[in-house]
Amino acid sequence: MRDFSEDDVRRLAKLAQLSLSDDECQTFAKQLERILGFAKRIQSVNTSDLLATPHALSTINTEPLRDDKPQQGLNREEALLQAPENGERLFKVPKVIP
Amino acid sequence: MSPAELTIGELVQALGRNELSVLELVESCLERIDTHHERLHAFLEPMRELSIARAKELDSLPSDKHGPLHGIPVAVKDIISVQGVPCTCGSRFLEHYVPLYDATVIKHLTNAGAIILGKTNLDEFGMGSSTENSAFGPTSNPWSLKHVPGGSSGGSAAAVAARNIPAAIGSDTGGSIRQPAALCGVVGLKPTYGRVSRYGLVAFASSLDQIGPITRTVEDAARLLQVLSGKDLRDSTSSPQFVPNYLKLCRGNVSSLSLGVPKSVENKGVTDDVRDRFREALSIFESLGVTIKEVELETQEDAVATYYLVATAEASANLARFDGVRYGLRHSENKSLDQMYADTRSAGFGPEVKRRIIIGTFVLSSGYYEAYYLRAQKNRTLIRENYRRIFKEVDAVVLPTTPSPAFQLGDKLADPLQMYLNDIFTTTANLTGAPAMSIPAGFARNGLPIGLQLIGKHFDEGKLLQLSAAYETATDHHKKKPPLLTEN
Repeated sequence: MRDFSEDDVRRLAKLAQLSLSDDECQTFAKQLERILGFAKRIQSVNTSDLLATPHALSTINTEPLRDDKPQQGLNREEALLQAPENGERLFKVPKVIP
Repeated sequence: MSPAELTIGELVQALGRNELSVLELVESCLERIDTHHERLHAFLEPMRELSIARAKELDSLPSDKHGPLHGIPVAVKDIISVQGVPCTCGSRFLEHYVPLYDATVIKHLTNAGAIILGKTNLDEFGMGSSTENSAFGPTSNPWSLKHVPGGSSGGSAAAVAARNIPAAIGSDTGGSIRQPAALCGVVGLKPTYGRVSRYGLVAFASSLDQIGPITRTVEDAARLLQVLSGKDLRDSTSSPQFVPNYLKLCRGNVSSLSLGVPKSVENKGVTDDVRDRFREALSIFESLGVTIKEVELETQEDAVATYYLVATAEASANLARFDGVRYGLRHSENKSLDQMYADTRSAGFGPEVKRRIIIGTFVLSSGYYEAYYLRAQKNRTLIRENYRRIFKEVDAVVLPTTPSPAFQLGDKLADPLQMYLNDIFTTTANLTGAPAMSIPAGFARNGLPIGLQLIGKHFDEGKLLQLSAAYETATDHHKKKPPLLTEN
């Protein structure tokens, strides 16, 4: 039995906000089968009494943070400069409430 | 000889003695880039006017105002922000995106007197090992135009190898500095995680990404690392660790140092050429008085699997920011918000990026998180502990950088897993955060370069540089030029 169907890929694509063609779903299903089939090898390693390492350096977050003082950032015009659509000094998005 | 062929060390002298002006240097680099552009495609955008203006400005500075990299042209992987210059990340999504600020590394380079000469090609968002995943077309290997330069910092490595420029900056998430450096026959250094600020680097996998130099000599890598390193208030993961004098450390004696060779290294699908060059390198180190010891390193395949689970999970989260609202591409004609997100992202991302987002979404999804992502993180602990044990016995670990020299363009595109397995020797340094570098170790029978990799203790870049510099002095691989340069 295959672990990955095209429908599985479609479900994941929806979660990731991607719209994939039928061809892409088919290709990805086959490739995921192979890639995750390989990745499964780590499931046979005994890690039951180990803690997870989410980050490369264990010292991270032990450093004091910088002082919480306001600093100069981008101004409004600059922040809007790269927006595909803006208006009334705001980012514009498609209508959310019909 | 064109000044573009000189090393940073040589340029510092020539510029200091006024034998060469910064403008002459910049013009000769730009000329080289133009000559090779069609065949190599290392650069996405040379910054012609900006760099010429900057060169003139630097030429007029009194010598007491010269920084340590005064007048040195540097190419930058197009995933690092330079204010006012497009930063595409090799993606259609960001084709017209122009950063409003400099990355911290760009500030450091500029303050040191360097000139940012242009942005180099890469696999989209740093995802790939061949630079074939660039939305703007692949880069070729200067040693053979039919072959890949490696990736994802393939444009940076190719530009340095082809003597278009003395140095470039890349980023390394699973080998993206070291692997292209190896395949192009140049030096590539991935510093310890936290050594160099990531502010202004477009994030791929935040717990693994690190910026570093690609150069033609070990000392040049030291010169760049010196300038790039240090704590940055804009990156809370950057480290306040003391930054030593790396150039001085390059010149230390290595006879008291030891190298660990993992037992099973030659069984990991390495080609005969790679095995031969590797054995040769070990005997060179022995002749320099370095002690070679066998060490136990857990299977590299597990590290690759761990890496691709962690990196894709982080990528799927990091790339959620590309939503078509604040910057980049948008497809939004008469659509709902959700449809706009999905259509924009599908039009903007290439196949490898989509594939990794899907894998990352899977390993983080309910029901699979424990079996994949959490397992991978625990395995990461295992790899870290393994290295900790090894570093009690030796100063650094030595490995090939890649199992084979450069493969042909198109060869591995249809099989992503084969492409991923090219990273078999490089991913552990990212998972553990250790510094690692690749240096030229000679050539395969077909004339393509082969790299040798050294992995060190955290913040022990000094010993890597010291060992590499001693090896470089004993060999002349780094002096060979690709045929591209003798053809015209």
